[in-house]
Amino acid sequence: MTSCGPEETDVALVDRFLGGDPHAFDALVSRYERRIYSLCLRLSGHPGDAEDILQDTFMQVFRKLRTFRGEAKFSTWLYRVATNAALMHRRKARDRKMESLEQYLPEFRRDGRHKRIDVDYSAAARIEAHIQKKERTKLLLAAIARLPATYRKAVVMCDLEELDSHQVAEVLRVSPQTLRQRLHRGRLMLRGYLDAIAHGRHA
Amino acid sequence: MIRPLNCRETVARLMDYLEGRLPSRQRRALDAHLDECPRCREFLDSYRATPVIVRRATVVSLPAGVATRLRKALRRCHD
Repeated sequence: MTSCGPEETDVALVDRFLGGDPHAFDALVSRYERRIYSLCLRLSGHPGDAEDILQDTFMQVFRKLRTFRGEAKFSTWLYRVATNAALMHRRKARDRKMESLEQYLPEFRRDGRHKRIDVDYSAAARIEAHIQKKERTKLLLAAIARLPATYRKAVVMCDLEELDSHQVAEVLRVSPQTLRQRLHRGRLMLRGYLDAIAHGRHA
Repeated sequence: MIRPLNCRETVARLMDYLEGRLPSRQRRALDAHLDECPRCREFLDSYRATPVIVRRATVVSLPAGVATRLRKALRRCHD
């Protein structure tokens, strides 16, 4: 029997797996594979890498599930394994020299006013009207991959996967305040990149 | 008297502003700055839209082949 009742909790499935029922693990995979694949793709920017990280994540979970002590939610633990796997994969990944997105942070004059007054800062909000979805997907997956890792993880989990911010702070083992600072800075970089796309200045 | 904010200070507070987390004096100061600064109003629009645009552009479904290969890999773990 591979199915699980709609009410069966993660903890119940973990218990069933630890009790010797391998099908309970299949049920956990079915429950989370789409979400973890999405997370992996957004963290890595490459479908091939995302598949490798997805497999690595669930293989690690399969091997380590006996050490899962239930102090955190199963999903928190799973997301932590996946984000760590994504980070390790990037370290091992073929050399991709990519310029950081930090260059797209807003710039200000000495008096604190915006440095550029000749551009329409709201153009970034309208790029969907000018750039085809396929092109946007390509540009923005690559852009996310250029965020420094701490900002990338915050943006992907909070803004793109829309996980609860307390859970994300727990996954990343940072304070809610630190997470908010990273999220804000990551958003500023991506906003600047959208701005550059809108004005044809992106690289 | 509320101390006026400049653009840099306004941008630094946008997340808290949008989530209603600013103390009322700071919120009033930020509103006052937005009233007189078109650049910051434009910046606010795009800052608010950014997560939505990036999310919509990167929504993916799980390819069938990926799911199949994942199960094959996990079967090797079982065995």
